[in-house]
Amino acid sequence: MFAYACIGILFLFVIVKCIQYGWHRKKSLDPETIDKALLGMLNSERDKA
Amino acid sequence: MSKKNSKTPVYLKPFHKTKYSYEKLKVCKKCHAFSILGDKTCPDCGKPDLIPVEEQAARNAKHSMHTAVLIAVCIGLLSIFLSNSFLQMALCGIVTIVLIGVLWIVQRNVLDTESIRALDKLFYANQKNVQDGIIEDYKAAIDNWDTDKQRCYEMLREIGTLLHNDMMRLRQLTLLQTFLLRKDMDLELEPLLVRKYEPVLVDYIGELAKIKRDLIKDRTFQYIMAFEPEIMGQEQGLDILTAVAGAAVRMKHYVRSYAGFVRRYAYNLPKDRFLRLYQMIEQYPNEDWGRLSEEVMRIYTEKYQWDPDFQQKSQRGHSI
Repeated sequence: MFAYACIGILFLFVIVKCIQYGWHRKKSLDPETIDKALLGMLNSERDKA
Repeated sequence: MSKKNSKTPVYLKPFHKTKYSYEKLKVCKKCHAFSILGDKTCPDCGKPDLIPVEEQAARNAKHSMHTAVLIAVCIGLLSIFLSNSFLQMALCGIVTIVLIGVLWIVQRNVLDTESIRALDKLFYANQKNVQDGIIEDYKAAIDNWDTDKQRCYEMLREIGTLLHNDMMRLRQLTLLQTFLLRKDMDLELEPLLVRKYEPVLVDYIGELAKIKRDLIKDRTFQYIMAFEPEIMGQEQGLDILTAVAGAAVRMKHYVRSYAGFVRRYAYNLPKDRFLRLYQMIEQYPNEDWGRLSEEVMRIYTEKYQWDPDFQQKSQRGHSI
């Protein structure tokens, strides 16, 4: 019985991970956004004048 | 001429432009220091463990995925261990293999997406390290200011892909003015435009107007026009403004957009530039040149009416 419980937990774990990956793919970031965020981070405190 | 002789001939390393600025950034696998300079050796710990941030992000994503697979394997093995019979054991084993196989296939398909997410997390979690790394790179570049100006400029040029501020630009411009600029050099202009009037930038634009006119584009014309009175007051200001007007003549778009500016310096243009301008006005008489066409005709009448290079066109008539 404990064996089947473990299999059930494994099944749920795999399902949750697959849903998580699918969600990440749906809300995927694009490289331009990351690039802008990096530049914003490095230049936000700099002299803009 | 003496100013030119005091400049140093240099052979700058080619500058490789990347689609995204972060592609030039590297991180040390050991000490997690960031640097935009350096090939493989970390400038902080000295170990040859410097890799591109994209590679580190992919490693992080794969590590996370492998951890998930490991957890799944552990749960599967536990289920096999807790089985009461051989049949149960076999059933648990088969289900474990199938589920881990499904997980592995899904992970392979989403690796790119997860790597991008890992990259974003890497920057977010290491903001201070990235900033510190770039500052250290800047210090390393400035250390070469007096001893090796070429190396200093090349380092600042790399750092300039991430640091966009007028101080960086002015440092680069100051160094560029110590070099003997040539047409074959890998030079840039628009990334070096600053917000305020800077004579060193104007001098640089003046030199580029002679050797690399194609670098002078809309933003440069707008900068020159914004500070035209100040430029007129600086040494060789008129020559620089005339050279920039000559650069505008290379394309109809620029002549039309900045007709007033070109008109103000048309009289001082060298013959070849004025000829090009004259031919452009003649070829497109219906364009809205404003008062430029009148000024061009006036100059033609005064200086080039009997010039054989202009005669071919003038035979068609003077009317515009």
